[in-house]
Amino acid sequence: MIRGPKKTLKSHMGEGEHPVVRLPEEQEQVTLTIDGREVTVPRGTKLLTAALHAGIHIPYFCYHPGLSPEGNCRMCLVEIEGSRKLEPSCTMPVREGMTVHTDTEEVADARRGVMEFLLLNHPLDCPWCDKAGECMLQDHSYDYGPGTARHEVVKRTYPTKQFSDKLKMYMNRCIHCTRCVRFLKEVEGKEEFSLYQRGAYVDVGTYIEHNLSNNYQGCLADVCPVGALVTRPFLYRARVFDLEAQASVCSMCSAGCSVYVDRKRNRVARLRPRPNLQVNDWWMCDTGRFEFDWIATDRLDEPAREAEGGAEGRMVAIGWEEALPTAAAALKSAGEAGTLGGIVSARASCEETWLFRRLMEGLGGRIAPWYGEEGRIDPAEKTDFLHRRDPNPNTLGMETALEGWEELEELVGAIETGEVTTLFILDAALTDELAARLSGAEVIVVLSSHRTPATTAATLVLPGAVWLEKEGTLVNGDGHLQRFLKALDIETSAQPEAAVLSSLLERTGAGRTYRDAGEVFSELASRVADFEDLTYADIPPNGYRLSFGIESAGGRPEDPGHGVHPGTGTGR
Amino acid sequence: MSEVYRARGEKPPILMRPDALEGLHTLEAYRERAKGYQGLEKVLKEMTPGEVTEEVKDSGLRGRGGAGFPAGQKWSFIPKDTDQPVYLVCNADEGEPGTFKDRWLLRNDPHQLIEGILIAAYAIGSKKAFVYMRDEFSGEAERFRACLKEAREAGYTGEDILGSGFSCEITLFLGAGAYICGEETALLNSLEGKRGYPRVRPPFPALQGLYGCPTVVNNVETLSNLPQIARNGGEWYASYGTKQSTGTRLFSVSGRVKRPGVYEVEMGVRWATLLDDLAGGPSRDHPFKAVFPGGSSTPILNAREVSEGTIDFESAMNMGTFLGSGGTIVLDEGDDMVDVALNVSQFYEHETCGQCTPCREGCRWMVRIIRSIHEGTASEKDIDLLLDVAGHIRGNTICAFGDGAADPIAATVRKFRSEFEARIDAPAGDGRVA
Repeated sequence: MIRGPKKTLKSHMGEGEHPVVRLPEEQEQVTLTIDGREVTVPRGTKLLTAALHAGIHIPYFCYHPGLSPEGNCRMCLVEIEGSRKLEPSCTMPVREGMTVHTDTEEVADARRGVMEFLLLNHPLDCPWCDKAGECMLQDHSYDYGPGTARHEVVKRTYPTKQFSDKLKMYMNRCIHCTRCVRFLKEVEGKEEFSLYQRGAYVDVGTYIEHNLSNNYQGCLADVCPVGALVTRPFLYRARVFDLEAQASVCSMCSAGCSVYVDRKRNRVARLRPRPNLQVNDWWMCDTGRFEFDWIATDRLDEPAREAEGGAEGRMVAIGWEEALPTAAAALKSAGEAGTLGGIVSARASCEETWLFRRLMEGLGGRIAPWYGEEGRIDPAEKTDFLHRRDPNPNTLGMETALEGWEELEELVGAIETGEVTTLFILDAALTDELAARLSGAEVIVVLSSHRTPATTAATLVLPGAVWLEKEGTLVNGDGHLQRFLKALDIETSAQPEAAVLSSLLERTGAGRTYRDAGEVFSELASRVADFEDLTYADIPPNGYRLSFGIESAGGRPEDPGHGVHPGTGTGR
Repeated sequence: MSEVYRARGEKPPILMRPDALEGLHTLEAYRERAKGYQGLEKVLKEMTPGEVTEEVKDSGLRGRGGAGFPAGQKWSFIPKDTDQPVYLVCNADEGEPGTFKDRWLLRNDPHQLIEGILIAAYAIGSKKAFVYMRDEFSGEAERFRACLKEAREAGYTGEDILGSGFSCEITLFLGAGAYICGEETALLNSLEGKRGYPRVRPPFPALQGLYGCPTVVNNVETLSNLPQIARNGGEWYASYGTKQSTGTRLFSVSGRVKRPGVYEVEMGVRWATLLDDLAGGPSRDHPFKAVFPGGSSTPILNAREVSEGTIDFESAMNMGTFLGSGGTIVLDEGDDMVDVALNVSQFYEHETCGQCTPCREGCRWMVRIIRSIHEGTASEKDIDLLLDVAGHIRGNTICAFGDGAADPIAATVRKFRSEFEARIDAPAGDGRVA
């Protein structure tokens, strides 16, 4: 068998060979020796976790850092001095002075045996399996398998199952590790999966055939170490080794899960969780994972202004060279007249919010926030173990950057009484009803990525970007600040909001231009105390928990030592 | 009635006493004829739990379910100052092929088991004992339920037993027919209402057993010995048998013998005592060829080993096998060892729980290889492949099932390899031991 350089696993558990693991919160430390290396971990740590934490690789299938260990795959067997036989490292608690060998011939032989057993009934259909390229069975077979087959046994087969429009199961590929069963039992909680039958004919799935109802079906495909569980939206869309990954943050709710954006030819092929023990562990919900079609739907691709003398609502396309001076002039004169108002969405990044605030404050305009149709929802309120009710990714960040504002109803009232005649709307979609109430305004400038009720009321529309097309910071419902980075190029004449705001600041004379998001963030952090004087580059890969005035123990951000920096980790 | 007990000297039987042979399934008979519940009374009134454990340690009594672990030592692993409930579980899921000796005790001397359970419960501080009985024992279960009712009415179970302040309830639980549930941790999962999958150790049941609480699991025969150890002392029990293997043992003998059945022998006797003197010797015109000494999970012995060995833990260990659950299966020269291997391997393929890889996949693979040898479609290297597969199962699984499935096959191939080689060219037989 040809053996190339050791491959690095690409998975939702972390990049490279070593998954992100969580050690027990236990003060007492235990020191053991693994392959001659001293390793110190808290008491109660399992041997495999200790090894992975120390960067020592032991192969495994059924172990998952976010699930209880079950010891059923037997791939992680190691030699422990004083033990009569090989022991599974995933379930073995560490002991002081324990001496462990992972590289003996006996261990290698046991691994070869396990690989041979697992491949005995595996269809070996890698050429058309979605998991190929990020499959643990494939990778481990390459590294630890016997390389040749000694069997001509008829393989056991199962029917293929559709669990929903999101998930499909090729049970023939299953290696019976039970990770999916444990995920639904221990993390998601609904326990929709179980094991049926016995022995070599064990089946995995729902007891009575029915669609899964949980919102974490993508995670089932993630935890599946082989191609048994695959997501249907991604099925046959791409080979995973053709994808480029960019570390990012999900913007679909106030949880702000760390994600990878896997892109192919400037399109999102799929989103998957990026492990972050301070935010989302190893998981993300299906809403965030699968609902990204909206990114390319109903987009605004060029600036437009209301047609003169034409039918109401009819817009004509104009260039930025006309749009920006027009907008700047309107905002400036309204500011001077004291009739300027602005609405900013809780979807806007901290930097965008800050520039919006600078612009409105510089021109003397009033500010109101937009949270969505239901108004403000506590961003900390969960709908399940992860997903939040608040659909905005930056409610806390926006409020923190603004520091002060008036209620939207107040501002709309001022428009209706004529106190405010010119409105600048950043990212806020509004509702048809609200948009209708803005008819008294003379000028409505809307900076938005999508067609919304707000843009239908606009007199001037400026096309913006979605979060995957720009960078900045978001603060989730727990006050956790994270950076998101550009994953896609803009293919139209739309512009990132911060660039437009920066240009408007200069053109109106209300401020200056900024080089990049980092420069905006630095100013924000130096002016708003809750941002704790952070600098953009100092924000760790997994983000930073703002203390909101509470004296934090560490004070400064510390890299937890795991995960990948959004700027460097591409997970390619 | 033919003879059912043999000792090396003159000592009387412990379990298959004449009174027990007549049946002691009523409380009245057990009390009148077998000094019933006097052992419990003595223990509750005269001994501390620690003294009972010491007495059992002195007796040298080792587990009769298969592993042969010293009973008193097992009890002493229960933490002394735990604030969790402690459970005693009686393993009556007798499912090992060839084994039916616990069934004899359940049928003939159920009160002795109840008394044994109460003594063990007292020793380990358990107020709640479960009897996990296999569902197929429907008559035994009915009888046991009636005995539990009698015991409760007589004040032997429940609150403040015999005015001692010790309380204990016994609950009968019926399994659902899976062999694996006789494995003690699978049994605990099954008892908890979960899938009967063995648990990874550590933690051991003594620390985290039933419902995560300290638990002792003892076999029916182990517990049935306790009333007499309590009455007569550990030293009396240890006067039976050998140094490492004290007392007597029940064996259920089946296969090519004239009188298959349950017999009691003092430990240390020759196999001939059990197979010839008690079971009547070969049933056909063939001499004995091989013996599974303690059930189909114990590596097979050939005729020479059977003639040289004695019935005790030491001798079994020296021959690379175990006394297991005392299910002695006897084969003679008319039996085909490839048939035997196929029959046994099919049982394990059917009963493997499927939890861990080597056993789930390996048991199925072994059957396929043996079947191809049996059908004459195999080649010489398949015999070595079979040994290699067995080698990759053994020692690498969560529970002892893997060893129990692999070792007897490996031993059969090693000891009777010529019969396997003969099949490479000449297929025969239907895979059943007639």
